[in-house]
Amino acid sequence: MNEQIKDLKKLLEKSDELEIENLEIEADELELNLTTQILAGAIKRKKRIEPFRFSPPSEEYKGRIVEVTLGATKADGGTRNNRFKIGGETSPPFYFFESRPVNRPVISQDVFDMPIPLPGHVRKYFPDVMDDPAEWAKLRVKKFNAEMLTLHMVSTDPLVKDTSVKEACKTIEDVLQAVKVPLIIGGSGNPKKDPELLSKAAEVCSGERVVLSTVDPDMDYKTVANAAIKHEHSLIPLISMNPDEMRRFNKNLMKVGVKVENLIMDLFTGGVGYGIEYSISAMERCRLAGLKGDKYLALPMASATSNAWSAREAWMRNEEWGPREWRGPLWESTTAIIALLSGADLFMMLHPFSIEIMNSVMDSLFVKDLTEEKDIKYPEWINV
Amino acid sequence: MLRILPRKKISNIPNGLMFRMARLTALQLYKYLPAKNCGECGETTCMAFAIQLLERKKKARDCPELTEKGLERLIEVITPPVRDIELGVGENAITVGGEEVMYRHELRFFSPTPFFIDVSDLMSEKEIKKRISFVEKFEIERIGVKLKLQGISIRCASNDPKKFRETVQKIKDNFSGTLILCSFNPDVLKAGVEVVRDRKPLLYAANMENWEHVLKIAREYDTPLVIYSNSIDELGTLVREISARDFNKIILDPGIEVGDSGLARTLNKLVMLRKSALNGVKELQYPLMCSTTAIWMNFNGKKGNPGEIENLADEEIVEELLRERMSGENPGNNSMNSDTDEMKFAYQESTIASILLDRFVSLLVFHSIDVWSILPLITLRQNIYTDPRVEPAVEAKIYEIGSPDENSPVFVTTNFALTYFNVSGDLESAKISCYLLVVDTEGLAATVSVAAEKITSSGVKTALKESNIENRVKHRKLIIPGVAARLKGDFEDATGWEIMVGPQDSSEISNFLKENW
Repeated sequence: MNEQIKDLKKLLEKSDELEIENLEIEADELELNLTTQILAGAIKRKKRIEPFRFSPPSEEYKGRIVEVTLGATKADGGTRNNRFKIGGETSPPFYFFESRPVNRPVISQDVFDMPIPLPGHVRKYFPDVMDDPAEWAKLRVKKFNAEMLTLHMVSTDPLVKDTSVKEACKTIEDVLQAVKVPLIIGGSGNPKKDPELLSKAAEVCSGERVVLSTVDPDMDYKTVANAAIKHEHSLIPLISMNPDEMRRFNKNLMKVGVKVENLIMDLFTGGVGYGIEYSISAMERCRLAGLKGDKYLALPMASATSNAWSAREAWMRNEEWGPREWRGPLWESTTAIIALLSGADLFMMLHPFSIEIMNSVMDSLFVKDLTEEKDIKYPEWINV
Repeated sequence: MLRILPRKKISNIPNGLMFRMARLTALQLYKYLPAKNCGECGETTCMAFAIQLLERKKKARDCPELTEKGLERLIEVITPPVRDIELGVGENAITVGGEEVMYRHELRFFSPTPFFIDVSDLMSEKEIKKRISFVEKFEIERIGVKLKLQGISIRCASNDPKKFRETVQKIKDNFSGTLILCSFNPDVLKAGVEVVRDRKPLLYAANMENWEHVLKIAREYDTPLVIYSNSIDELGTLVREISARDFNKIILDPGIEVGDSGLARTLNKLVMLRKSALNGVKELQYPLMCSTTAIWMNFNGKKGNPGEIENLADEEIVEELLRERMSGENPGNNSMNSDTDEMKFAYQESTIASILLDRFVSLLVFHSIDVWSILPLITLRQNIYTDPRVEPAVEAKIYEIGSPDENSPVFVTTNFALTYFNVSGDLESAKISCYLLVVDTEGLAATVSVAAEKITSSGVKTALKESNIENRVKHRKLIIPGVAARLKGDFEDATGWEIMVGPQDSSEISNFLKENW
């Protein structure tokens, strides 16, 4: 018997598998134990594949994105009911294994200083208020829970209504009175009128820590910058999809004396299908550069997501594409989500439904606890 | 129409973040080739073949001169860190994965995520036929490219091999494209794959319990295989087991989770998986897939509570949306509640899918067949997977639409490919004979080029001059895009032509001409 066991042992050492056919075991306890030991050895050799142990591919970044404060409460010398901090990231967006997201991005809802052409299915959310920016602002806050507003002064463009700066400032004052959320003051995009408008707006909003949107190298940005410095506001430099020029411009703004914690970059958000891939790459490159320690790009980013509405897929009636009531907001919220994943911290948005969706997505991403869910239902998709 | 331009000016920032050099160079690959310049592969030289290999236009096997060993070595070198897996056969064959980078600016993303539409063996015959026809007819043209859906994913909700076999047979008879067969029951998978073995379907899925059986089927029928686990440890362990048995046609499904922090965990996992693959963790160097059908788990046809995103909208807003929907634009004939719910789920599915698309998912099974919920996704897919080295531009010159004469209008637009295709498409469908002057805006769309000042008076002036349009029309009127209205004065001063501001969108051109021309 001993000999047989030795033979068996020898045989097992060389083989990976053991198949026993028609085996009847008639043995006492001792012999069985011995056999089991040998078998265990053989089985161990067969299962020589070690279980895989994952370790998260974490990386350290030497840079940190600057934090920018939006709005000033009474305690800060302003009259806003609330203020927000954006930025502060220490790793790429939603790389939870490297760091937890710091500040939740803020959605600033669009208000215009005149009735602007909007598709019917969007316009109907703002009945009777489009002639009155203050009422429009109130509706945004009361009905659509706006945490922040962007007041776009589009009528000041000489080619639109050429509203005087004085009159425009009156509108801004009205809105400041009407609502108590932090504000972004947007120009019309006219490079000659905007510097004058934005610097007067800075004066009117003194103490409120508003955001002046936007400045670019082809306008008299120094005037705006100086007004922002004097009245302690933030600025949005806009450079379309070009990280190199963005860096250069930020450097120039800092040279003029704008503090780094008062800058929010806008690299232009093209809607889905209208250049969003350039926006993604521009934003990702800037964010990575900032994290790697480039102080001129370690800034929070703004996304004028409402641009998505210029896509005909968002507003046009088209039987083949399905109802635009759903298609439109989806176009805007998808654009917003992609900007969010590319690093945007501040969103300017139009449609109440897209805003709702963005908020729900952010609710599920800005969570404290990432512990593994125990009851994973996913495989049941097969039975849906 | 698209032209390949040198990569945009290389940035001096940020260090190491410039367009990263490709992982390999043609010169490196050349060393693995026979250097005979025999021309058998269709290229004149081995160096040219090496370049085609890098661009994924040729495969290693296209070189007939390589020894078996040599071929093996070459394949090892060119295999990307996220392996490329082939599904289906013939003209329906699809490459999944084959990715090299985290960020598209580092090189490019290679294989656009294929979309498979979900079908279950418990769906009615009518519903299944509707879904087949949806996939077959789906085609949306953008920038001269026809965007399509890639196939049908059939799942066995009945867990009955016989029922599944019948459904697969039915779909096989009515649909010629690529298939995925889904069940965790090996008997079911076997019953299905027997029917469509010649299609080389993707088998879904092996898990910790069934993998030995499922692997056996995949090997027997020579099909690729999905491994599912929500745990990365288990995924890696299964890959170790399966690849140790010389099987590498693997796609990984890490699952998506619903619930409080589910989306965050899902996102986190997807990023870690891609990053680990690029870092050389060989157990994880396989493409990823997900099925957003899971989103519909809480949908019961009438009332539902979307798991992940609660309170999708203010009830009031939904009611409003619905009223408009009911009031004529797109009359639905379902009951109000179930219709809204279905819309909400479709919206949510699309939303989650956009996140997955952005975060490295290389294959997607999608349930909704509402065009509006798929439209942004396939558009986004086209965007993300565009080669950043190719400018989406058409040649800046004068184009003739229809048969224009000396009295025909002249329109100005940008050379962004999409703008050009939209505008010329609108002009053609409105049967307007005219000239379309395409100005070089560095491939930027109209709105963007106005904001970024890429459409300028001097640019328009040059384009006018080079087009020689002065000698082809009698009038001196130029119609510019509505979004460029503020540049009217500048253009007039620079060109001396009368500038007419066109509509905001080219779909309005026909009406515009009726009133103004």
